[in-house]
Amino acid sequence: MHAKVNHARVEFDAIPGNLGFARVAAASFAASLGFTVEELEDIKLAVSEAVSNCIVHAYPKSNSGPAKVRMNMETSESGVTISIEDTGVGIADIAAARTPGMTTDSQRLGMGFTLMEALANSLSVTSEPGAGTCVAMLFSPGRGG
Amino acid sequence: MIRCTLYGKSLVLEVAGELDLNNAEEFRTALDSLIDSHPDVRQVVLCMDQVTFIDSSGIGVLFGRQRRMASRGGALSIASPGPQARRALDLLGVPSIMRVYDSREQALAAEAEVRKCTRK
Repeated sequence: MHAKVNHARVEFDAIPGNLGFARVAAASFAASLGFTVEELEDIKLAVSEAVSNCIVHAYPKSNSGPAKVRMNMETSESGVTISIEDTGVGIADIAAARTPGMTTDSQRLGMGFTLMEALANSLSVTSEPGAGTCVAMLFSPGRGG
Repeated sequence: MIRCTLYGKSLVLEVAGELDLNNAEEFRTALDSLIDSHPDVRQVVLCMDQVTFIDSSGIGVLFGRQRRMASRGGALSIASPGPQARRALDLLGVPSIMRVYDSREQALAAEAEVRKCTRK
């Protein structure tokens, strides 16, 4: 059975209080595609890491203007692609940012990208300093742990 | 957010709900306050069966409290994580840094055994 192509987009303030909303929205969108409960939990964890990165890193307090996160969700025959996008400061060195344990905040683990890579079937990061960052993750049902 | 029970020199903390960036600071402050108010405690067991979600922000708090307990010659251990918490803990390699037990009873029995061995 081929999954119907479906698309949804939500935009929300880049604040920690919206993390639960983002997780549930992504899992709800993916729920009809045959993912197991455990796989939906993996999607929630990956989304939580991506949105947390936007909240913590994309919008330094000194920046004025709207701090928003946009989450695009799109189905395909491969599964669901969830893109988390911000219009914040961007990442100058993406490879360095994806290094396990790399963080600019001493209170954090620096394991967000490592987790996202472990949880998603594939992950791509595009960023432009001063313009923002987009993290796109593909999840396919039935891939196992 | 945290229910606290003292068993001898072990402090059992029961945490509930979701642990993420939204409450990591509150979680950290609450744990530090409980740890600081029990200076004789060497073992903190964190029961996670009521934790419905945890990500790296929540797990970062656990790492920090483990370091805190280690600095006083003690340890923090995890008991009864649900499936989501267990998955997140495993993915971040937590079991290689702190003990993770299937139940609170196992944690307390094992920690009592560890203390016995340490005293010999």
